Amino acid sequence: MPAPALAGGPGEDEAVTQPGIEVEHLRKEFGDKVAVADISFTVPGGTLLGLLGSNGAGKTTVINCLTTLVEPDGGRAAVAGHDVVAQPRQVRESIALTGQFAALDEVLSGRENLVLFGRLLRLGRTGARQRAEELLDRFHLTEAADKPVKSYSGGMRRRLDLAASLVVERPVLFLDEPTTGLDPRSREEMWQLIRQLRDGGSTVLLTSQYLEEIDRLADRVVVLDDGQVIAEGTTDELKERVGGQVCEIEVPVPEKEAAAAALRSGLGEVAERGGALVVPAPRARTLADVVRLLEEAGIEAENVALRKPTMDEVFFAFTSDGTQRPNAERSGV
Amino acid sequence: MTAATGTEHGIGNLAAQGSALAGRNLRQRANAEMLVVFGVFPVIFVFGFLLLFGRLFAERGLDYAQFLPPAIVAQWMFTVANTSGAASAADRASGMLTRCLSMPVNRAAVVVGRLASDAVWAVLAVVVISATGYVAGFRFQGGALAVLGFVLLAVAFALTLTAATTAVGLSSTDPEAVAATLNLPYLALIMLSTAFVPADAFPGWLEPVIRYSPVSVVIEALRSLASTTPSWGKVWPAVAWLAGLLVIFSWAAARAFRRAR
Ligand SMILES: Nc1ncnc2c1ncn2[C@@H]1O[C@H](COP(=O)(O)OP(=O)(O)O)[C@@H](O)[C@H]1O
Ligand SMILES: [Mg+2]
Repeated sequence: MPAPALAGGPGEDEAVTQPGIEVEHLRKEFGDKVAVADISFTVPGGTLLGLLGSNGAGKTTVINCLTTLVEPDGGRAAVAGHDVVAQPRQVRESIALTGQFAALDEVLSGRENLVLFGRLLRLGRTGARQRAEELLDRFHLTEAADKPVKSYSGGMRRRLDLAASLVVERPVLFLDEPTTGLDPRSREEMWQLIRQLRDGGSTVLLTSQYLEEIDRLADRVVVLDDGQVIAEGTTDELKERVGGQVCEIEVPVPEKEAAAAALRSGLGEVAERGGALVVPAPRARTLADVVRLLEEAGIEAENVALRKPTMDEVFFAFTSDGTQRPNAERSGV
Repeated sequence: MTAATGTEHGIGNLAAQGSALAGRNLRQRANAEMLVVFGVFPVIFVFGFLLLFGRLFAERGLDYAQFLPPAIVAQWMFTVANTSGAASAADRASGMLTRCLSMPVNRAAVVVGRLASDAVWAVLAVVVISATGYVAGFRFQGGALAVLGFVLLAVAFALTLTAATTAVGLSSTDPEAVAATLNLPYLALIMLSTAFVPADAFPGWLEPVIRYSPVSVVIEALRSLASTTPSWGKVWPAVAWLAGLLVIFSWAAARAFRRAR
């Protein structure tokens, strides 16, 4: 009788969870450029992991290794239980990739693109056509279906690109910066679609430069910098550590030193970003604290505002609470 | 989760995926520009050159209407190959190549699809140019087998060139730069061949270069196959040249393909 063995024993998770993505000490170099130094993480089956990192952090290289597009130089990785180096064919049969840039035929229409991918995936002519109709409908592209892709807006192109990855449903999905360059409305639509995929039981690896995006979608986050993992946890853990928001203070240049000292005495950390002072603002009352501290020091601020932290400030937060950061210099996001 | 759909091994997948990609390649270029390139330009070239040189060569006892069309065919095989090289660069730039490689699509299907669509363009060009030539007085004089040989050799020439232009195309992500780059060797090779004038019209020191250039050898083989006396002696040097070049160009193309992700 198998039931008792599954009921809450220590092996329970392994028994019910399908394999997702496992990455151990992955390494990839291009010439003498180390794109991925040493990265390990796991995406349990049926969950969405966000890979957060600024431009050049190594996100796309990780995805390329996991989708068999490049061979890693070190470490190992398995996708849906298949080793990416030893069983690339089985990996490709288990995955779908939506790359960083829409990979479509610009001359063909949206429908023709989907039919082409359906035929490449051996759905047959009729099967491919049927599937294309379903996807056009689901992704709100029916109206533009017969127009060439080069006439599509950024948002439509992205939707079609995602649809093209779903022609055959796969257990593991890779989405590389799916909303970069989209306007807020298209981004919101994309998020909606990604949420549906997550809720449908797919294992998803999503990369992004935006904390907010990961926050909206991911169960867990891995933060990459310079080819290494610098932080890992649930979105809530990460948010707690980053503080969710930062407070940016602009003061006249001569008074900056004094203002920084006053804020430091009251709030701990102060950073300088592009001429303004920045402090983590985990609670809304940090704003009040800032105003009070400046007032007490007799300094009049030109502007005080709460905003979302940038990637740099996320890194700043991690390094300031002791997490090692391999490369202190960075050129911004 | 559909496990059975989307596999890449075996000849069945290669054929199906190759033909899907070939269809896409053809559909992608079935536009007004290609209609001009394959329908209008050959006509202009055939009649233009005939007007320019026809009478001049008639004085020297050369039937230019019979001499010219095989050269225009060779020229158009370059056009097929150069267009294909630019298309390879475009596929790399647009991410289409990457997408295909991340899917369970037979690796060779990408190549087969490209070669198949190029072969279709090549045959189309041979048909249009021969038909135009026919109006101007060109005739296939050596029988059905020679006509078949003519078409096969022209297509083989186009596909050999395609291997070279694919190597160039896959090393770039800029289709326009590829097209511009490929124009140089194309012009040099066509000019320095017996395409438009016989070898003895060149300065003496240049004559051997002209005579033994692979482009001349192929064009002479095509002329022979269109003549009253098709000769194996003219055809086998062309076949040998193409076989040798195909080995080198395929190696270069395969290397570029491996690096093109
Ligand atoms: N094919 C390549 N050749 C050389 N360097 C590369 C190549 N691909 C990526 N890199 C380098 O590796 C680093 C990581 O790149 P990438 O994985 O694209 O980062 P991300 O996707 O996070 O922006 C960058 O510094 C990039 O310049
Ligand atoms: Mg990237």
